Amino acid sequence: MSPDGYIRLPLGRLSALSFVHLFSESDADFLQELKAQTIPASAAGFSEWKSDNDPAISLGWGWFIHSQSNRMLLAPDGVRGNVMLIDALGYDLGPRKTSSLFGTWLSVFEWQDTVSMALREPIAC
Amino acid sequence: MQTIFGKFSTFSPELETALAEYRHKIFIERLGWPLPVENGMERDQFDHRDTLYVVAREPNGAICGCARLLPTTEPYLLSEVFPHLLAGAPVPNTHEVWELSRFAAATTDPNSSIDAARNTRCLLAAAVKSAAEQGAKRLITVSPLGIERLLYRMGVHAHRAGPPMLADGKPIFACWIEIDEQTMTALGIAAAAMHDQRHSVISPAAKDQLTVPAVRRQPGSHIAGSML
Repeated sequence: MSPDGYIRLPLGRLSALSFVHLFSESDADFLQELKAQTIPASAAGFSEWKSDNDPAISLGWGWFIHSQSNRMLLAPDGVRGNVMLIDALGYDLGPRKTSSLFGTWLSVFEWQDTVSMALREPIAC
Repeated sequence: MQTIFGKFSTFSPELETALAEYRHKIFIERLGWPLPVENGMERDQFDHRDTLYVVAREPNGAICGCARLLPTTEPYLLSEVFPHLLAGAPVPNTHEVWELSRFAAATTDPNSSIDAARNTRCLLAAAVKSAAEQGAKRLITVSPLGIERLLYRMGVHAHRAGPPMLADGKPIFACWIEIDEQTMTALGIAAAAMHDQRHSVISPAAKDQLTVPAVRRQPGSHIAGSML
């Protein structure tokens, strides 16, 4: 971990890490916010994960159920965490690009089933 | 809207009482946080003579926002109550890091015309500016998880200090707010406003230096931002 609290690593390192689900919740206020943006959502909430190494990478993102397809999708509010992605030369990519790249990474990370299951269970961690 | 900045010791008894009563209305009555309460007022061990506050008031004088700033060189909320949120990292102890706590931007008047999102941005800008004037380069907060989304939308450079944890059944986390160009730009804090300004009241004229873009009110959002 860097002195500024960021864990710095290139995106390619993520595939070697295991992530465990912490908790997921529905959020009625968030659903209203998405609807106000005309996003066709029937439910919404957030999900929290962390890596099983030390120091742990913490990642969280918003999700919503797309009204028409009934699919769980990543909400357009960025992926948040304690990571700063770096380029091949070791330079910071910046918080915006880091969040954007995590969104791309999530598209190949199977998280929806775990979140759906967790939403049926009482929150605990 | 007027923003007041100063130490507890410089506040009048009336303002200090009004602030404690406002905090009770917001943090105890609305948010239901389990905090120390005495005679309808919310105060804790970190409210002392040297504590710095930012208070926002409506034109009629009613408080519509507050924030508390504590140097990390003295005991503060994260160091004393929530150090586990740092995931094993050492607790900050430097003049360059200040803790932002008891942040709330909300009117208690249901007929108020104050825009919640604009109020939040103005108050956070005033808190960041005030902390920077004390030498802070970064802020650390303990916050409900929803704050992270709010900061992201504002464009503020904020990131987690560790994974969130549940406190009283609600997820909270330690959040870094970098006082850098990205945050200053996002909050509309002009570089010219970053001089050493030690008077306790930011006048409406000076406040205008905080150029705050209009932000649409979030539907159903009465408390646009809150930090422990």
